Amino acid sequence: MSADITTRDGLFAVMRQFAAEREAAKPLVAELLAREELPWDEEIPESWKTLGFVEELTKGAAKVVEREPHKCADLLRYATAVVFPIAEPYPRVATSQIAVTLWKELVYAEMYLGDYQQALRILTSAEDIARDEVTSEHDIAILYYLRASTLGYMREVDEAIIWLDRAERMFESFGDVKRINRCEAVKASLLMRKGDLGAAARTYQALIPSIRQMDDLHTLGIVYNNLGQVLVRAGKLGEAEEAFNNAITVWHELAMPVEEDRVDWGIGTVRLAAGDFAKAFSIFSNVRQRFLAHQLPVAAGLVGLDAVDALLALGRDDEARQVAELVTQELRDANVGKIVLEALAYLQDLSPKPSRAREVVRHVKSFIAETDHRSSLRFVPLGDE
Amino acid sequence: MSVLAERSAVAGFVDRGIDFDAVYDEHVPLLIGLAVDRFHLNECDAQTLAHEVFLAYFLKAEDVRDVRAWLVGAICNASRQFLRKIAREVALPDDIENTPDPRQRPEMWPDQIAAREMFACCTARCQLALRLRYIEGYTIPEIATQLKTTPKYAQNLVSRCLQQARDRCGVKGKEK
Repeated sequence: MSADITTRDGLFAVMRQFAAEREAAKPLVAELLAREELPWDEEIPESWKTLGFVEELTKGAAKVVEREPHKCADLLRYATAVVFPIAEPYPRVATSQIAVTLWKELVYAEMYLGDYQQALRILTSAEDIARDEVTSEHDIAILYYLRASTLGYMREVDEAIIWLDRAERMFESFGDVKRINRCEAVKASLLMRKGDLGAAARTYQALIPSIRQMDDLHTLGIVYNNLGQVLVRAGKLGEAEEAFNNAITVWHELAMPVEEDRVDWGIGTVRLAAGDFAKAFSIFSNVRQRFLAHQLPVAAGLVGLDAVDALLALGRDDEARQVAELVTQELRDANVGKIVLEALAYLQDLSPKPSRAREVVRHVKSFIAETDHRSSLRFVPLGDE
Repeated sequence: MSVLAERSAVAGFVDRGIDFDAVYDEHVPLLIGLAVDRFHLNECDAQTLAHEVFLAYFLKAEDVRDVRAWLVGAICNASRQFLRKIAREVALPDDIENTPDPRQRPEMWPDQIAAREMFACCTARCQLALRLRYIEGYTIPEIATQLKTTPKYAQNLVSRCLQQARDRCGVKGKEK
């Protein structure tokens, strides 16, 4: 491939070559995606060492992030091994952009797996690559947006807003309304984390028409799900259930079952708040099993704690203790980190008074949910009765 | 060959349902004009930049909804970045060949190239381990976390991979 893109012929020759590489890569990537184990201990075949192959592998991996996040991360790491030695004869702008896209998908995978520190580290590498190219502004904006989202999950709300504002301004310069909407959606989630439920709900509701107009179903699903969560917290259970039902419709259309499970979890919290504890417990148990099947132990642990909460409300204390022990063991097996285990230790001695026991369970759950479980924060137990 | 078939044989480059020749004809002259008129780039730099922007668009075309807005935003941002970049550059002294680069970039480039060549000889696992250790600067425990293994295994892996790189690159070097 000629890397000279200063002429029209040169530019189109490069583009045609990319198109050909992508086509050639499709069956190879399909075969790789179907494998149980990646060929980590073999030398990478020469025919794979093209940017078209890396692009196709990145796309293929990104498609499985929702159902198989571990496999997705593994495939993307493999793609990093393929792309790194590739330099010549591609134009730098192409090498940079494809590498940044790969790193960006790896960030998504790490976020899915709940490893936010690692996500931040990858973002730094990606930003270093992108900054070298004068045409990378849009990619840099995406990376800033991802950094803001990651920081939001880590409760670094103020810093997240700074990055989000920068990203939004950059997206505005590209007329990228879809991503501006996404920035606004993240802002709403940050408002929710700050406890400003009214503002968060209004932001989500105001976004829905524009997201629908852009036909951005993925963001629409997220917004409906998050809106449901805000409304549950605000005690507006009927509206919350309606938002969750809208979210389920979207995820079903997108064929994203894990996201449907997350919404089911939300519907369980509506039932729990409404005092329909038996139904809530049934939903939580089913969702927990599905999360475990998808190897999402932290999410399974958190929904497990909601199940404990429902059991305590039903007066089934012994079962609640058994589930709490099971959840603790599963999270320990998943190497969630010392801090989460410290918090979980408080479940071993659930108070005989049901209201107090439920309070402890909720406190432990919110701590785990809101804490990057690899951070150095310390769990602060509830005070004495 | 019919007129229609003839026309399609010389039709533009269509990929993923987009006629890139048509998009090029419609927008690239505008992009060059913007870079020249608004940012005072010379014609040659403007064309190179417009082509880089167009290639960036080609690579993410499926993701771009408003092509014109995206391309215009991209050329304006790229022109600004380009101007910032050249503003930071200082004219080379006459005796440049004998002057060491204070940022040591020339020393770094061969290292990077050597690293790429060396990694290309290794298995995918070794490439990953060596890149994390020597390019990204991960510690052994961090590599262990990434590879879901113990620090001891990660340490052994890195040592083994270094040896693999030496052996394989050494052999390839001799063959040459």
